[in-house]
Amino acid sequence: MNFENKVVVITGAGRGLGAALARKLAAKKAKVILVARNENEIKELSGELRKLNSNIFHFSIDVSLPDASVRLSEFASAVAGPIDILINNASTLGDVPLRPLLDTRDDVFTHVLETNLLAPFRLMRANLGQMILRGSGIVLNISSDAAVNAYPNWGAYGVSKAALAHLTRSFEAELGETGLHFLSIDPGEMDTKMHEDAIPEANKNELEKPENVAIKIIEIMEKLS
Amino acid sequence: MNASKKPRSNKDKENLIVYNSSSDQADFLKIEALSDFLQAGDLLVVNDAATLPSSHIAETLKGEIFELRLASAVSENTWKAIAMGSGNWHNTTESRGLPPEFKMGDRILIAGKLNAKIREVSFANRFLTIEFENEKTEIWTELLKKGTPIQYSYLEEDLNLNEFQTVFASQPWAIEMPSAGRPLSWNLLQNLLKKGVKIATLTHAAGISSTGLAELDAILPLPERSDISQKTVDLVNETKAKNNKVIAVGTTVVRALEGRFYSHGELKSGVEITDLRIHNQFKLNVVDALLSGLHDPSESHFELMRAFASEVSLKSVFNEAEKRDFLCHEFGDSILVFKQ
Repeated sequence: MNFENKVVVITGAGRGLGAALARKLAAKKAKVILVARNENEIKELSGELRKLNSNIFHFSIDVSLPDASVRLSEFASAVAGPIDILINNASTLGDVPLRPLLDTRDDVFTHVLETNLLAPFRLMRANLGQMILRGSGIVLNISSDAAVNAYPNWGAYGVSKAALAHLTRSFEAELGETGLHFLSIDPGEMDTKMHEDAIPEANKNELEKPENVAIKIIEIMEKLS
Repeated sequence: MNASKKPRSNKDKENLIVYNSSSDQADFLKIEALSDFLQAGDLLVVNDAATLPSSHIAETLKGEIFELRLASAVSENTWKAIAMGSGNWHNTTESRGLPPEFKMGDRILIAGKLNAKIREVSFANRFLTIEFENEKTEIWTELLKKGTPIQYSYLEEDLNLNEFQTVFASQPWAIEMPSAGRPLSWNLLQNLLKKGVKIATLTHAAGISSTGLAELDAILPLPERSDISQKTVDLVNETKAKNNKVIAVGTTVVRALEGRFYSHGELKSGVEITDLRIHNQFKLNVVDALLSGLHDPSESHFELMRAFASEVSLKSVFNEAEKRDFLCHEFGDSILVFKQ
């Protein structure tokens, strides 16, 4: 996969792994649409990346809203073209400090599922049809160790990530023969704000830098046809 | 015929009329039976335009608030638009209040952040040409964040923008949903592909369908742009060469394909605008059959269908469909009509 002029949407692009992926893809001359709730973060990053690539755009929206998927897909298509690569990176832990499941409220659990699971599903549903008819496309869903292993207090997040991984497999089962690629990648423990929110006592020196993880992810996508 | 008041949960079970003009045969079925009427090698051409949230709150410099419905794009920053006065989509368009009085050169504020200058005013302040003064990215950001889909009074409730998209929606060019493609579920498309039916796409900027002013409705559809790829041109030509059928999904696809052929004497790829109006005397050169939603016989839509079948036959078939409780409009049932 050559990223030049490919239209890439990255949710949760304001910081951490999303921002690191955006930097790498901008350097590879992709048309990158940065998406996040916090407009200031993506506006600043967009300004920074535009110095090396004029095809950088940003669209601030809460991806958990029911029609956010269509609104941001239409934005991407209007300013850059139909989406070639969709990176579902945005996620939320729910309440922090993390809490036991028995103390998790309905609204918090629902919001975690809407952000981490339904938003990627809606974005895939909004874009896979056009990708199939155009004959190519990549969906990358950022997973987690919590998708596989159960940890105390990580309940809602873990459930959402396990479901997201299965959503990826289910789409692969339905549409794997169309030529599209469905990736679910666990980036491991990274030095990000989200990790700090979840495990404030972690030794940052033992955490991977998002920039290094982004390089590995880009290498995986580059090997796809 | 009654309108469908909301999207239905199982598209495959929506109704389908199949009418063959040559044999004057009409069948009343479910849309999942569509593949029974198409052969391997036939080509289904769909309009992949995504539907914009085209209804916006606008304000004059005097503070008068009104609804502005985008009607068609003239260029990146210039649009035809319809101004609506008091009321909202729950009211019929005919019963909406008068819009504010506009003069050429007036400035208006759209979606709270976009500045636009009025370039043309006609049809008693209803029909405007507006020119945005913001840059392209900002225009799209605000239109897509703030707008809502155009809805009509036969619908029951506010609908999410998702409901106005087809499964293959791509470029956001459609002012209103290219609704003939809406009943095509992925399940149904997969069955067609398995049978050997081919699918091609084009993008046609389906415009506004109703303004509430009869004189203005009479000039619809406005000139509309379409983007036809070389791949689609090749597929259409191959299909015709093999005497297979080209089935247009929606009147917008008929207008795009026939308009392009009418201009050049052959299909050509690229982006062009067509002002072609197709009527009962029009000789179809490209399209053999039309899959369409059911619409009122008074609409321009029905006028185009008369290029495929006689008015008498269509009205007879529609009357029978009404007796069978078929539903019309964008969330309604469908008809596949083969020309003579």
